[in-house]
Amino acid sequence: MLEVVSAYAAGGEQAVKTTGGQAATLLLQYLKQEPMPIIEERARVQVNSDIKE
Amino acid sequence: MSRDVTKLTTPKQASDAKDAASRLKSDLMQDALGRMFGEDGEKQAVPGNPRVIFALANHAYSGGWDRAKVLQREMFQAAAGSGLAMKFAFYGPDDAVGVRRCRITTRWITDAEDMAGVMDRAECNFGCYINIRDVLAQAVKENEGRPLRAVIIVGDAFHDDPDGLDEAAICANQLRRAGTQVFLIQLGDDPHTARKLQYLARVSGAAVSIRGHSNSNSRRCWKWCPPMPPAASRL
Repeated sequence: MLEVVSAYAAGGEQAVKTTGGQAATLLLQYLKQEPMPIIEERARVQVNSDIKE
Repeated sequence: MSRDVTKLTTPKQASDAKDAASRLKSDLMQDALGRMFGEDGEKQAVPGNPRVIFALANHAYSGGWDRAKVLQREMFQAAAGSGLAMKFAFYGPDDAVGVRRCRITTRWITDAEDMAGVMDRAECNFGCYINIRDVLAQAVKENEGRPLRAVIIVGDAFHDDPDGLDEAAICANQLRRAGTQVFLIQLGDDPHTARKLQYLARVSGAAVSIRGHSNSNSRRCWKWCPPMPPAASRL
């Protein structure tokens, strides 16, 4: 796995393709991956803890 | 008896409306729209000699530190003749709130022996909190002018809170847009850190690797995590 990191640092994506193997294949999948939009929204409403009864 | 639930509207809360989560969401939506309209072209290779930031968040006298030294040597060997230049980042003394400061070499290092010497002189004997957003923010600064080829972060645990993690994701996305690939390599098997790194990978396209056994130097312990499915949660 670290070999393909070295290959990428040295020669970019093309060097990873040349390296071959399972680790290179998985890394190439990462390189093609597009970031996913966030699908969940965090609750931003806060409850005032000093509510007087 | 009052049942009022108040949405806080002080100036601080108003600024929170533009907090990291909101900015990250806005960035990701812009990216998605850009891809939809074909404005997000193929990444172009950065011209000139490759430049890499190599960051380590691990105890200075651990197996991880030793493995990182081997990795930097392998990178220089693999890149022989290409003019590879690296900066080394690590975590130094605590700040006022007990979080380790990110430190980075001021000069670019072009030789494996030189790099090993710098790593030997650096100390990372932390036992407190470290945040991955600090090193990614530093990488964004280094990326100005001419983009880096890669940012490689090796660590066993990161302590970013959700807002900090979103700040980290914003930085990682800035790097991705500039054509810089981020590698996140986890030592050990801390599940909280693993989920944080996988979240970063999902929203920024970073590559994540987990090492199952922190005490082993076997290369077979390292593996790429498969890219995350879209429905995975953040924390």
